Amino acid sequence: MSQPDRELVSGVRAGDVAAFGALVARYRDAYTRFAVRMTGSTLDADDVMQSVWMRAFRNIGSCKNPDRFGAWLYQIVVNECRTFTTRRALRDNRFVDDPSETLAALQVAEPDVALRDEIRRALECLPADQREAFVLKHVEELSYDQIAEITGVGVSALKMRVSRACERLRELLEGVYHE
Amino acid sequence: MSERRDDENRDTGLDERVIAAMRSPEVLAPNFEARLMAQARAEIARRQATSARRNWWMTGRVFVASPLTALAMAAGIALAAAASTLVVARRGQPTLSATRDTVEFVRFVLVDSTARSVSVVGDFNGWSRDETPLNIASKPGVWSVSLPLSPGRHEYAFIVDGKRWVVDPASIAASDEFGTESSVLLVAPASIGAS
Repeated sequence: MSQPDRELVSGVRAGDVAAFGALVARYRDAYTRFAVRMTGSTLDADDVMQSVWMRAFRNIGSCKNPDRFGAWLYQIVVNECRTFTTRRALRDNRFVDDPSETLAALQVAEPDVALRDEIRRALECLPADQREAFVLKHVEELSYDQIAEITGVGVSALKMRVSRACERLRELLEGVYHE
Repeated sequence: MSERRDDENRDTGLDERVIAAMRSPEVLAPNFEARLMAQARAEIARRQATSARRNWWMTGRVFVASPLTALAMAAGIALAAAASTLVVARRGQPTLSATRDTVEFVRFVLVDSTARSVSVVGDFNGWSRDETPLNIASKPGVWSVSLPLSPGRHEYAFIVDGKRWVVDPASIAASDEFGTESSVLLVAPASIGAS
């Protein structure tokens, strides 16, 4: 039987790198998809997740409820993704004026190959707060209460963001399957 | 996260294949864990080195000295204590000093004659491009703002015309963990009695 989070967290606090490795193995896959959807690439998600785990390692003492390590870690993942997307947007001026043109151009490629790119671009077109709420709700399939706990945003605001994100994604991805 | 999947608003109105593609798992580089563990081990080694240095200073030691040497050392310690008291008394205002230790005003300046607007973003304002605009100073093209910052290391950059990321040419540049270049500012705590 695997060690509970509480014991592993306790080990990490005592400087046990193996316990840290066990936590990484347990949660790595669960949060990687979120980071990839938020950053738009596995390379960027790799950077973000390295930063997430080292932040968790250094600040493990502030995890007040080690039985809920996963929820605590999720907050770090969300915050790191927010920092990344904010800084990248500022640095690269990645503001898309007319995303539908870019999406239309992509559709000339093979549909199966282009699908993931289209989804990535569509998600990038969303404001970061809407993208975050949408991915947590409909990709990670969390409840609104869970999302509210992780993001610190109220449930009604989250519902509004998800609703707007869905509406915008429907527009952006309309006609993806038009065979 | 055990209690997943509530039934509220499950329908996105998107094609099921789009949702399925979004939910497909993602895999990071095969050496992801090896790199992470190397960082963690290095962190532990740093902590242990720091702890060893601290212990060296905290460990009690026995010095053997002749009575004359001991007398000279005692006199030296007493003289140093008296001198430091004198200096503090002369400079005074310990309350002001404590206030200065918590915050320092730093002036950010960027010279750009073509800019229509300039703001500064950094860890101190959540990298918000709207929060801290710079103002035109007395000379054309000189933008500046003064900000209260806590002592320590800060990273920042300028945003010109709301979209152009500019590192401070007058400061040290550093790349963050995401490869973004920004400028580095080290704010030292004010010394007692500094003007």
